[in-house]
Amino acid sequence: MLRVAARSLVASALLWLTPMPAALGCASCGSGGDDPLILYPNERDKTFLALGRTTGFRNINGSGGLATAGGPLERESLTFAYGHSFSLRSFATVTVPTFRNVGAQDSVSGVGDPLIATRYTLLMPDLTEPSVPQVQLIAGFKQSHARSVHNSEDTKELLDVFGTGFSDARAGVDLWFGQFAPKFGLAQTFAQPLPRTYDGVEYRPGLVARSTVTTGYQWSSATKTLVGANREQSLGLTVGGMTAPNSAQLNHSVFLTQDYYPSMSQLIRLTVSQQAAFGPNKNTARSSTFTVVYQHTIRS
Amino acid sequence: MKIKSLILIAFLGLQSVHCGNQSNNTTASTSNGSSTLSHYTAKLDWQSALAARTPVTAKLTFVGAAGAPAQSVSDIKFNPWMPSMGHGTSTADQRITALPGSSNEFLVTGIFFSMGGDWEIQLTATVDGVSDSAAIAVSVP
Repeated sequence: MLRVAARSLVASALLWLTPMPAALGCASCGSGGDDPLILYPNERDKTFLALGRTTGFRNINGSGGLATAGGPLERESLTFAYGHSFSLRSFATVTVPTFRNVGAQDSVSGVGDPLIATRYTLLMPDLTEPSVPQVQLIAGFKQSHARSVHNSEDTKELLDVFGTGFSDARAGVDLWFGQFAPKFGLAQTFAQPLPRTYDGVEYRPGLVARSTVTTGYQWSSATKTLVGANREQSLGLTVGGMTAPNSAQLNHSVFLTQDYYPSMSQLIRLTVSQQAAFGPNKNTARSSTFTVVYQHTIRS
Repeated sequence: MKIKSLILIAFLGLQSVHCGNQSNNTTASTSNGSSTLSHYTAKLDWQSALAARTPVTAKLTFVGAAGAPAQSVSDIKFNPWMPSMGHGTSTADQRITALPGSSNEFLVTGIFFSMGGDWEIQLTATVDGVSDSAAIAVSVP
């Protein structure tokens, strides 16, 4: 009896560690970041559509205390992305977010800051070496297009604010242990916002570092669950050559993502995320977001 | 032209309101101006509960170093600013009016903090012919 149980346990463990199909992915996709689309090596072109709703805004001051939020009471988002691969190892995506900010009396819609991102797979996943992670290098540029708090025309409700007000260049690395049913990933990106002048005064935001840790489980070839956390830290803001005191920002967020593949070319993803969810946070905002994503590979 | 500076001290009116309009309560969340030339003091007393996204009122009082009321005050500029985010707020509804019969007391109505957090009031004024500016830290709930 014991021998049978032991064999069963060993068999379960082996099954648990058996490389799974559809094992590719990344640590940072689905994490609430703004470059959510990834192409697998066999995919040439892919589209992405996401509907999101963010509620429960609260500001967090420089001491970590909660304060009344500014801006909309609720934000709805519709995000389009398109990805094209150039080779088995490299692809680029263009992401354009649109928003609808809902205030107490009114709502305003607009386009956010578009992002171009590229990834190069430095280390491809290898079925013969399942414990070696996929390693991707990330580079991107976000073009400031939308109004921000620095040039809002609605200075009371800030309903016309859809962007940060600064373009940024970003780079990073994404490690993904995705070949077993249990999955694990780490990603680290850095973004350097470019200085910009408003009303004759130069604003120079500090470097932004974003760390992501992700784990999850692939239940079958069609379903996968991921949970993770982000730490986003930015250095202080310089205004007119003077660093604003206590202006560094810190945000710890969490996310839960459920993936479902209705077919080999389609993905439906549900994500819930909470900004400023744990740990110390400062000069940031707390909010909750629910996102529904549909991805379609249009050419393999 | 640089003229002698003005020292500004804010008194949280929120505390005053809750403590039965007593003045000179805690100076938490306040700061002095950067100058050490203390010819004048501007006191800021919140007349309504300090809050975000709703108009609030403050009383500005200008006194000399010995506590004597200023004889003339002009060119007052009262600009709420959020240093950590690098933005201000709407001042469209803000009004600064002298209290009747007073040369040194002013009521600032319609002050609108667009969000909670760490703000400062960037204040400039010419007091008895002396002009300068300073910042008063305000923590808006």
